[in-house]
Amino acid sequence: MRRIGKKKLVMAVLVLVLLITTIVCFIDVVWGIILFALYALCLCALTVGLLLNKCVKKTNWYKNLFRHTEQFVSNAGYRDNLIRNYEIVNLGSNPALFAFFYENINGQNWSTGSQGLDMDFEILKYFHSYLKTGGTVLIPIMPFTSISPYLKNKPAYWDKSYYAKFAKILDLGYIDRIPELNRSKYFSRFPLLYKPTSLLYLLHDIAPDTRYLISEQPMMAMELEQDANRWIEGWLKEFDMKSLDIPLTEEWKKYYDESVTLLRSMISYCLERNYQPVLICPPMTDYLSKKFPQQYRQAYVLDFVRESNTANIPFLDYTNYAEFQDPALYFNSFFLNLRGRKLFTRRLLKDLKIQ
Amino acid sequence: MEYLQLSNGISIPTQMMGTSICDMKGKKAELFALLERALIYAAQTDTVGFDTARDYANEPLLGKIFSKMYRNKIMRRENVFITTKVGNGQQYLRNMKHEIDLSLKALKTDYIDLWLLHWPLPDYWLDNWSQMQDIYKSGKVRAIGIANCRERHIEMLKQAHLPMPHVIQIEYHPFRTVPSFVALCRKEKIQLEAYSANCLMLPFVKGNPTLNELAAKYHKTVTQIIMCWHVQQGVIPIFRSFNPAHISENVDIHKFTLTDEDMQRIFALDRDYKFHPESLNCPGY
Ligand SMILES: NC(=O)c1ccc[n+]([C@@H]2O[C@H](COP(=O)([O-])OP(=O)(O)OC[C@H]3O[C@@H](n4cnc5c(N)ncnc54)[C@H](OP(=O)(O)O)[C@@H]3O)[C@@H](O)[C@H]2O)c1
Repeated sequence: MRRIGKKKLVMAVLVLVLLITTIVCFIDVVWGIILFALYALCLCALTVGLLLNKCVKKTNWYKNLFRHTEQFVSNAGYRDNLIRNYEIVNLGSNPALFAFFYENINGQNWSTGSQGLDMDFEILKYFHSYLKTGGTVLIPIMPFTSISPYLKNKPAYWDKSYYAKFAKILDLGYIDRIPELNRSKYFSRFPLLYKPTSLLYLLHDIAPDTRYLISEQPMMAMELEQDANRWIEGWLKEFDMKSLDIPLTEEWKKYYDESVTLLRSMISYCLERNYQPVLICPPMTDYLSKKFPQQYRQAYVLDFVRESNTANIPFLDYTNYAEFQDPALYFNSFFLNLRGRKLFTRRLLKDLKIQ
Repeated sequence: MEYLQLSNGISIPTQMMGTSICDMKGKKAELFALLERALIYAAQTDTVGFDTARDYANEPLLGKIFSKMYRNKIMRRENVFITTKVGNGQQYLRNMKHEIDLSLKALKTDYIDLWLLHWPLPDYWLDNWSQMQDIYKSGKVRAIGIANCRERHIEMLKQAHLPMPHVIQIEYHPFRTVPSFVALCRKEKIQLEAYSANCLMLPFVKGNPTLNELAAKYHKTVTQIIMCWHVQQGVIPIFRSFNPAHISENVDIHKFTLTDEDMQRIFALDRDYKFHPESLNCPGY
């Protein structure tokens, strides 16, 4: 229906334009010709724009943005896809994307890569009916989850291309009601329009993101140390912190409380629908974990979990778990590689008594 | 056609035919013609219950087909049972009075037999449900209900001191039998309707050994076994077929009865399989 409406509108505009031009032609031929030339120019520009847009969609830059959204089957696709009743799914950002790999179990990784807790909730709300009654929802808690709402002050971290992947997998009618997503609604279709600089990728593209396929540790000990430092420096910069030795001040408490409220809502949401939510800290190498002072972990992770978890759901903390300290299971200091991912998920399913 | 009685005393056919063509591929005009032929055929073979919804975008078409059928004396308005639903897009506007008038106009009728909220849309449905009570009292609809309800929604109605629906429509078939929900509906005197009553005859349904064995035993088809299983337990199946032979088959189920044991064998097929993942149609569901 909507498509017919749009077609009719385009036709009406074209007819109107033609009509005006013809009238102008009758009044003054020169102006009529100028108008026609202008229209022809516009049409050419539009065609070239659409062609370039098509080329941009073929770049690795574009493909990388949506690389981890393929697993989601939305309203348009479920009739051709009969898989239902997942026993387990996980939410979470990159560390979760690289932590879970479901074999011999009907499970799905619902991490799209970079993914805040608020988007975790949107994904859960939209896709949860794929889960079986009683199915497990893993909610990963990372070192900065508790204060992540702070990043709202830093729009550069959450630009349109971040929201575009969520806008692509969620329902159009639904995202109308989420302002951030609504602004990125058509990004996946017209990337050039939203990010004109993407043209540069036609000249010099980036490499395809193949991290998901890596099954070995490419870094040596010193590189791992440097990589861990880079992560910490990146976070300090992101959160405008001087060091990780900071107490939970009033300033941080504001963001922290926001996360507590959100996490509590997510937990109740799962429980009300008879799913089993589980809070989980995936493992990391000790190159990285040792950089977090104990007081930081206590205040920003463990106390956060305690405060949010009023429903007393399981909390599994694998951060320093001995079995996953071997750097060979990772592809940097933070993310598990394919082998590590498989081993960790097997251990987790055993701990959850699902397998 | 046989009838059941709703808690408010009105009669409702024991089987319904769905009219949705949203998911069908093909040219609109051809689909419309197919639907028209199927509806006329169904009416001539004594199928009198039809299920539609605003979101199926076919209310005006049905209005035209129905009026033509009344004019040609294929059926009379008072013998037809029309169900329609108010969709989420309309629920956001919170004006049920306006919505029922639109549906009445499109369906070219003075009343709807059963009017349903298509979804218990979070943050909206309770308010809209309470508006629907007034419309029910006005006589524009003879019964009201909610589709895609769960236990928690019934609980919410109780907490809000709002009346129970006369009818609840959910996805229900041998592969999804939600026993505790069915028990709750019975307790609350809510009539259950089963949409996708044949589970769309998906390959695993068509090829199911138990259903095929029973079909052979009773000299019936798999769909007839499924339809009979619904009707025998007092659930109203909504099937959809635009194939005359299938329509006849689906309603020709009154001359045999499944034994209790065979009914239980079908119940045992349950694996809580939802073809329509609800949250995709109603985010936050
Ligand atoms: N409230 C809601 O949210 C909701 C959601 C979904 C559906 N519904 C309602 O429920 C209605 C029915 O749903 P549905 O389409 O899923 O029904 P269904 O009867 O379970 O499935 C329809 C499919 O089954 C086939 N079929 C039907 N009878 C058959 C027979 N005797 N032999 C072989 N195949 C047969 C049809 O093919 P042929 O055409 O070839 O016979 C069609 O492909 C819809 O039209 C709609 O009114 C409501």
